[in-house]
Amino acid sequence: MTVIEMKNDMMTIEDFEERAMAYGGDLDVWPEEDRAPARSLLAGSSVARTALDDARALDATLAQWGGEAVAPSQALLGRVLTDAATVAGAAEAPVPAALSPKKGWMASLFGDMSPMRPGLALAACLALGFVVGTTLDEQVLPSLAPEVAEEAVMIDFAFAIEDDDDLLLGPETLL
Amino acid sequence: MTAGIATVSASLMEVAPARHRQRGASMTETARPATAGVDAEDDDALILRFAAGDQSAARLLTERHLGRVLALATRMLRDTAEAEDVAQEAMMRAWRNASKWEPGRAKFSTWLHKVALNLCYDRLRKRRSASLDDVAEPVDDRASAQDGMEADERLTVLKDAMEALPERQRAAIQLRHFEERGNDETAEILGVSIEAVESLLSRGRRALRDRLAGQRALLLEE
Repeated sequence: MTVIEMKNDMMTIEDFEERAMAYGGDLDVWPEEDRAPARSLLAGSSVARTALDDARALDATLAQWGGEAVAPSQALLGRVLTDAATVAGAAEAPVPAALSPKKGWMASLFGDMSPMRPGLALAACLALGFVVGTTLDEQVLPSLAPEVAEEAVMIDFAFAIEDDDDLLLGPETLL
Repeated sequence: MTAGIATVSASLMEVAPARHRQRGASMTETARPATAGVDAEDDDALILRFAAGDQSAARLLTERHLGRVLALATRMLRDTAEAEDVAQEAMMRAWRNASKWEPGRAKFSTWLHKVALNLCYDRLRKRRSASLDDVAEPVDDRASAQDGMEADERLTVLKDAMEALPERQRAAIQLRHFEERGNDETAEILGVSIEAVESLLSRGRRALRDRLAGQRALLLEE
């Protein structure tokens, strides 16, 4: 056995007490790498044996609580399954015709027109907006107050965060 | 639905008593029942089935997890009504987020316990705030013990000692000792390292032993 192997195989009484407190009095449930060194120490140390006895006494005490049955009531079961049915029902609920996305947002705005007409109408609106925006004087269209502009930026930022959250679908985001 | 609930209830009564679970040589590998991995895969499949509209998947997930989540919340909060609320809310979050679940990203039961534990922390913090305002803490089983309704005085002594522990030490003991979680999973639920779990366990159990020292005769009597 090399010096390094001997060192790795040793366990101090402090380490033993720490493991006994953490994992209890049954060496078989200790971390596997700690079991052999623990048994070696136990064979020659009354302090280690006392620490293990203390841990076993605590295990026995905790076991009294561990054996206490905790079963869901019928009422709780009913509520949980009702919640599930409600969530599933909401997910499956038909989209009202007025909100149906089948026609597309342009068709919702412009009604049942030929496919080209909404596009033409939008182009006209954009052109009108450009003309108005570039020709009117600043006195006619005063700039936004600083606090209003700041609020608008914050709202944009908030929506950007929400968008990002939708893209991060890991378990941490679901808590 | 009544028959379905009765079936779930019967299954939940079969929750095995807790024991420590072995930690493997790698510090992250824990010994588990042979079916644990399969269960994890099945949980993923079930949550996806529920997201696709399969209601029977909700019943199976409830059957599998509600009892353990309720037990954790009950031991953390010592209040049956609050524990039921926490268990229901944790399951509700599972239903609501089912469509976003990514199979294999995390173990469903770990995620669910983490949600439940965080809900417990929230309620414990609210209690502390309320107690600062001289509002009585809603600890029902201790009150019932004082009224003579709690037959097992030893259990009450132990619960009181456990309740006096810091939240994370208490949670670590709950998860390791009663929930049979390995160090790696306990670490994930608590959001700490495996070394920190060992430290929490050691400090928590030592504090528990010291608090119970004066009650040892009572605790060990048959």
